[in-house]
Amino acid sequence: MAIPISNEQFVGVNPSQDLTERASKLINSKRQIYTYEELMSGVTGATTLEIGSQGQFAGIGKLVTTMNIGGIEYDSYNLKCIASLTPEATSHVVAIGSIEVGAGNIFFTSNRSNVEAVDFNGFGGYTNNPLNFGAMVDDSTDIARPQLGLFYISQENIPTFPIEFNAMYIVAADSLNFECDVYVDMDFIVQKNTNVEFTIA
Amino acid sequence: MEDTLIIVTDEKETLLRPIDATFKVEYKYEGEATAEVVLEGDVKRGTVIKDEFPAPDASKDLEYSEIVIDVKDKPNNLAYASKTSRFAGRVPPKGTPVPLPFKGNIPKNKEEKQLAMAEKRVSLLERLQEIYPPK
Repeated sequence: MAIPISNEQFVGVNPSQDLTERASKLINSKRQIYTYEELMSGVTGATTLEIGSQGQFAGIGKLVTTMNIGGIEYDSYNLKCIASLTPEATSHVVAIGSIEVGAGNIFFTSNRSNVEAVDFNGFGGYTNNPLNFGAMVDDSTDIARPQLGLFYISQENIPTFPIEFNAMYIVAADSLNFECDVYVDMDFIVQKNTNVEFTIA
Repeated sequence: MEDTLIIVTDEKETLLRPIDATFKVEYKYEGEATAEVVLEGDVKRGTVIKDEFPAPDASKDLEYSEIVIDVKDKPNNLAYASKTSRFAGRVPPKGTPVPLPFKGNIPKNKEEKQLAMAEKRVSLLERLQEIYPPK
């Protein structure tokens, strides 16, 4: 698909102009008009990830979709993080960063996080599994095996900070040493129009 | 039928789901020296779910009712202060939010946030290593 030269070209009209669409009584100022950039960011969520103190890359991005739950409106955001759980160990905790909101709780509505391990000396190639108990991990043998301990993303409030401060962690543990790469990709909702700020850990 | 009688929030009306606290509902009648505790228990996940607030004694005049939220003073509890909400001449309305004042530390900069997250990470890792000892 050809890349449009500008947002206006893609939308077809200048969003500041009030035009009435055929068979509609709405004018543009009454509609929500998305630019090409907004539409694309809505598809992919966070795309700019900064590097943190444990070598992790993480960031958040606002999604186009909004939700109305029982009359209460929410904005949607996406959290992404890429981290290597190395060197191999029985327990790994990576602090991703914090999500701070102006007011209200955050609710994670979707989790598409992936775990990648090497299986060069097993069936070959790389394994990819949803992040959870049982995901394939590897070790110095380069043979992937299921992880049988804990594997989850933790959302936690730091006790001395306000409730609106949500610290995010990758938590993984097993009785045997293991390592893997983790790709966190989760959507969350917050009260509509509240401020949302991410601080890399 | 059970319903949410009390909602424990901060002053921005954010539900304090992890808070460890107890609650008391007291009725004070005209001419009596002390208030009477009519309901008490633990706050669970930031709420109190019960059938109803007890009906006041119809033979007496209710001076006020109070909801007392007592936040437990223990490590790792959220940094919010205990609070009492008073309702003159009536029982508390169902679903009453009790906004607790914050008594903790508002992080001033990025470094303070990062330090707190790093400390928490180390403490979580140490707890995991007790269950899954390093090899």
